[in-house]
Amino acid sequence: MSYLRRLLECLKSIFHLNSTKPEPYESIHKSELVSRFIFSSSHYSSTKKVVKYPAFIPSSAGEASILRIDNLSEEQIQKIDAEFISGRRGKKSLARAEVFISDIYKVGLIVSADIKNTHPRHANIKGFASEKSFQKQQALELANKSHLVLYDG
Amino acid sequence: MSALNHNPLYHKSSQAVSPNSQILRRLEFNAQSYHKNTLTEGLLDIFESDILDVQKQCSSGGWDGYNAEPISLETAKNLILFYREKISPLNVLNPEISPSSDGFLGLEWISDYQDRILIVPEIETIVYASIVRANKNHGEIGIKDELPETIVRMLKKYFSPKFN
Repeated sequence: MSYLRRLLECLKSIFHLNSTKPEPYESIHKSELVSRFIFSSSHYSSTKKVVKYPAFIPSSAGEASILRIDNLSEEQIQKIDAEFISGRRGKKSLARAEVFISDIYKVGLIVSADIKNTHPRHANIKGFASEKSFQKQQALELANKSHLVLYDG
Repeated sequence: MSALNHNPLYHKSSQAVSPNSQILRRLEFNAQSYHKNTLTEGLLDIFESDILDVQKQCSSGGWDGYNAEPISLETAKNLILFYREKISPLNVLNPEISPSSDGFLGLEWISDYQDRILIVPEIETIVYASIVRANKNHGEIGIKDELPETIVRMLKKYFSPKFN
């Protein structure tokens, strides 16, 4: 019996079935990939296939909204986008900038999960400098480290 | 005539040829100068019209999907003037036009080697930031001040038509 119990525990941990464990989205790992959705064609260069710096300029609250996209298929990302991101704005996203959380840390910024707002995978990049030129340099660095995913049409 | 007087090629070629050849060479030189000026003006016009296009796209609030401030026509005109006065004489490649959520338009040079230089002329100040190779630089100067020497040097070095 004890063998079977151990096997069950093992299977639960593999498939995340243990209800006593905390919500997996609460803990953030630096190897995760996140995505910043882009709604203006002026925020990327379609010829150079790169993200421009303003895509990462934070809101007046000092945060840049992102989605944690680890282990999601392209179809799943676009579904969340249609339902919770573009859908709630009434504005279709044209592209997205993907960047690793480790690269965000390298710029001196942090990522904070925001599971109660909009979607469990929602998070914010925080810790931007208040000095305007420094903030722009941080956004330049994030743009440099990010990868552009351009949507067709 | 003054342009011809200062052109070493014209002087060199005009010394040992017949008067007719001299006239022909002079006409050829004038035609080349005319073509060069027209081409430069043409490229500038296209870039300026691109600035106006971006302004139109970003003229209403929330244009970026994240509550951005609208970008005014006056901001676009200021950028065009700034470009003509401060950037065009440097003879560097045309930058990307980067509208920001605070309602300003920036000039962003992006190289294939992940070098980036950003210049944003605002109302009273010019905000700049750069990442070139391992060097990072950022700051703010008065709108009438000269661009920082380091920024000008990097623009000429990494974003000149010859380098690329």
